Amino acid sequence: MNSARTKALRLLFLTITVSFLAAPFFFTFYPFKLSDNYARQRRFRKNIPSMYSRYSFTRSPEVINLGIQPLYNPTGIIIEAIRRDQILTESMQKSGFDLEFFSFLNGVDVNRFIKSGELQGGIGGETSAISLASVKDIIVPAIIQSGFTSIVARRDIFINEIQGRRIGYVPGTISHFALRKALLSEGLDEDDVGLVAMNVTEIPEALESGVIDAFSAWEPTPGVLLKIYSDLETIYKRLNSGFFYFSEEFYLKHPEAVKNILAAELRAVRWIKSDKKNLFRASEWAILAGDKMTEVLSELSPSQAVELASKDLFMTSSVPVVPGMDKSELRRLKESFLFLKSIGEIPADALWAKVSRSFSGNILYYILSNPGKYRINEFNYRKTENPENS
Amino acid sequence: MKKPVLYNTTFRKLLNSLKFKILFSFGLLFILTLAALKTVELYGLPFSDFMGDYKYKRYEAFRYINLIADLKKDQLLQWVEERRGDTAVIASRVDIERIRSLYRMIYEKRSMGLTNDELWDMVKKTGLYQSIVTGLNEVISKYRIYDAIQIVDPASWTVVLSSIDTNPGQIFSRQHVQPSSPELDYTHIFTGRDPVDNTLNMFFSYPILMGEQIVARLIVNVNTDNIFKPMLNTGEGLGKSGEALLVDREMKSLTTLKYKPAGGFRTASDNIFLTSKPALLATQGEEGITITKDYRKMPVLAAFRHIPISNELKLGLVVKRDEKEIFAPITKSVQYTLVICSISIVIAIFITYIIAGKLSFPIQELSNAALLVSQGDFRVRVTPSKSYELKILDETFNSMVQQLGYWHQELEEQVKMRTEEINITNKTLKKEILERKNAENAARKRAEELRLANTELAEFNYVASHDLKEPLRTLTNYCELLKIDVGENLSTRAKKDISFISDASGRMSMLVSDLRHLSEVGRAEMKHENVDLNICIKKVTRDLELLIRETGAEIRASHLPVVKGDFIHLNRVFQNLIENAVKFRGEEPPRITVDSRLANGSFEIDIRDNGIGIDPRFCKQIFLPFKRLHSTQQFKGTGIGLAICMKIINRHDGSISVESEPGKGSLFKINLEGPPPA
Repeated sequence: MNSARTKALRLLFLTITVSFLAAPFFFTFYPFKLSDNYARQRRFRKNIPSMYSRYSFTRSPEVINLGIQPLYNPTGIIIEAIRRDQILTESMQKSGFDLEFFSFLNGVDVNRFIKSGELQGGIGGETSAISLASVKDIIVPAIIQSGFTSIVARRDIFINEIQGRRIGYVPGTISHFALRKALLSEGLDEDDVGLVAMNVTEIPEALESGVIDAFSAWEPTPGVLLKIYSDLETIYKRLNSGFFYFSEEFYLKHPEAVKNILAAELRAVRWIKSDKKNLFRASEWAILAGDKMTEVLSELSPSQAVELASKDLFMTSSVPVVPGMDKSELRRLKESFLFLKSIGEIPADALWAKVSRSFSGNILYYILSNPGKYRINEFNYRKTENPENS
Repeated sequence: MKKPVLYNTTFRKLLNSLKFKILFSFGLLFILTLAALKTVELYGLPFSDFMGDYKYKRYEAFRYINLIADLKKDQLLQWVEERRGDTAVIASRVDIERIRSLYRMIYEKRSMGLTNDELWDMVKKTGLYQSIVTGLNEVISKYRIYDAIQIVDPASWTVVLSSIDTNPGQIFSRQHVQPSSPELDYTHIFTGRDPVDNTLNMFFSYPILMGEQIVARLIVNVNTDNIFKPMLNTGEGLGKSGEALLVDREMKSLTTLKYKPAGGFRTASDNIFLTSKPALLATQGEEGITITKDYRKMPVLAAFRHIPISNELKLGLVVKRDEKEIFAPITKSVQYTLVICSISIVIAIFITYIIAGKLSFPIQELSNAALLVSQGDFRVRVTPSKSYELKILDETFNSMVQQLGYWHQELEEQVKMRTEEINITNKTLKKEILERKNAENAARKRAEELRLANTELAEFNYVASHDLKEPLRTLTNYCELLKIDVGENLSTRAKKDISFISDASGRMSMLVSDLRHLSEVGRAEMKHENVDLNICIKKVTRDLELLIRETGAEIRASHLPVVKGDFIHLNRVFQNLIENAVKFRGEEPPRITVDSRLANGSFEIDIRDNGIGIDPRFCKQIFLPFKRLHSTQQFKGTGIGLAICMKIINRHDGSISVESEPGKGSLFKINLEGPPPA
């Protein structure tokens, strides 16, 4: 009896020891399947955030609906300045247009509403701009920002140790592409990690609860979380551009309206870059817009937002021409195009020539050549986004 | 097969010793504990925030080089931003009216039909030109960073004024500039190689405006080699092998390399192209850190940063340091840990050895004492240990040994007594054995004497019978010769006497033969074979066929057994008995029956006849030699036949007897060895 008991105890001890030793290897080298990743991605793509159901788009030739991303910095800051640009309001009123802005979580969602005709234009990262340009006739006349998409991980994980980790990302966006590039730089592919599809707003909770070990996102999410959690570290960054793009049909019907909006962008960038106080004010507006959209108070103070935005703003040119002539930039965009094709985000028969034609700096050059007409060196911003409260 | 060394007795003894087991167990426990602790200390605890020294130091090294790369990038961008600001400030200080006057003068001189060289020689000598150049040189000396300041025509990019005397009139060569750029307040930044020493020049261009019209472009020129080299490669953190490299989008190195490049490079006439992964990633807009091989093919830890100086000018910065140098403290730390661990293990084993010795000593002492006790030394005692448990053990052992000693002594005495008793018994037994041996020897001697006597007797028997028969035959022969010689002359009485002599000698001859047979039966070797008595009876019947026919005898035999014995002799027994039954017949023809049965494990064979019978008083005597109940005139014979039968049956360990009454026939009963038990 004693012998049987001893044997059972020995077996139990052995099992516990072996499990204990094997567990780290199991968790480290769990063979995540790409099919699982894609399944998660498809499920994520089917879910349309419920917040969009509240939007009522005015379908009228006199109303221009623009999709913006308050949680995409420093674009969010620039956009908030544009929304308060009194000169733009005046020029729009003079042309008989009413400009309305709708907040979205990512460029994929913006595209969805441009495709359905509810938006006439919007803001998106390079993957969103390319994705839309491959299936719809659009014009991409201006860069709105140049910034980094970062992969942030707990500090004990470096890029060469990312294999087998669970990584939060937003499928089909610059977050996804940056992650792909980071993995490629270490000779890995998506099959080697566990991909967890999510919106940027879900990342903090996923990180806190341990659902993910790392995430790939655009600013301000990495910046905010790096400020909050001391055990996080940026392990990889990729420069990407955010673009302003419009439906070509809309542009051909109302070219001046588009030019006025782009002039407002030029003004906003110059105004924000000219003085830190302006950046501070615009950051406050961006934080408010973000809070309004997510219905959660931001963890970021305006001064922290200024600090985060400064570097990216430095990279954002005062002359934000699209890289139509720059071979290196075009090569970078083509890489994104091929990536989107590889993940099925754009059709397999989509042509790069069509996409690259959509990127043109001519409209911006025209505005720059007529600074007086478009008043690009004048600045007048009201305190609220609503023109009636100015 | 040779046994392995492991099974060597001494080695096994050592392995099984308590001291070794204590040493092994505690040593192993210590080593495992130390190894586990050190492993956790070095590599961290799984599923916890504790990262471990090795990983922490590695992480720190990664972080440190990342930090340096960030600092260098910030420094670079800050420096560029400062130069951009400087250029704007310098441009804003340029007296536009004087520039316009210079333009007008150049235009006038050009209309005079002068060659380009003549024109610019003339312009450079004018007071206006000299005064503007003096102003520009003052700026250069004030900032102490710029190598040259030039003013170019915005349309043709012809240098109209320069702090360097040779430049005016030349077309400015530009890189990284979009010619169609209609920017107003946009600062161009572009690069070019110094024609003399191939070092990198950076040009900052800023428009000189009159209203919204660009009237000229101010270009300040900085030779970056003197700036970037100290900026990128000074300061702490890069160690001996560290290096910061700046590359442009074509992967051209913009800084002088610290080391001589190894193979795998392609060098242009004035450029070195870097092909390493970090440089490529940095120029493509990526930032991070990786372990890779640098242009020397040496493994390095490299942090790479994208430096977006302007829309057109984007550079890559690689801050790298030899992996060997970076991880040297970590490797050293691991080595120290291993050394300390090894020393600790040696010390621990030494201490454990001493402890094991101390712990096992009382037990060893006890074991030695027990060994002595087992060898019969009951005087041995162990010194009581100080340890409570061992003290009890020692005292109990001592008490036990003392008790054992008493018992042993008592036992010894008892054994002594018993030994004495046994000795006495032994002596008696020895005496008896001697006597028996003597008796045996005497018996053996007697048996030998008997055997010799028998032999002699047999020889005598043979010789006697032969020699006795010889005169009898002679007597018989001479009686026959006498009958032939005398023949008819013999009287009836003489004939009768001769006939008596002849019959007597014949009987004498038969008697001698039977005696010899009797003697031979007593000495002959009896075979021990299967004898089927049915065959015996058949043979006897066949041999006596004539007699049986003459007498009208009837012989009936039931199924008889197979017995162990000598066929010839047993055959003779049955022949004698049946012949006697026929010979001693009554008036009726002889009726002989032979039956058998198994009783008490032996065969009983009955031979019954209807002869004249025997007086029961003589039933035993008839088996004696020469015992005759009738005269030879009544029944012929020597009187030895039944004696032979008895002798033969006795030699078969059997018995023979007769039951009879006169006139009622006789029943001969033979008892022979039965079948072996099943």
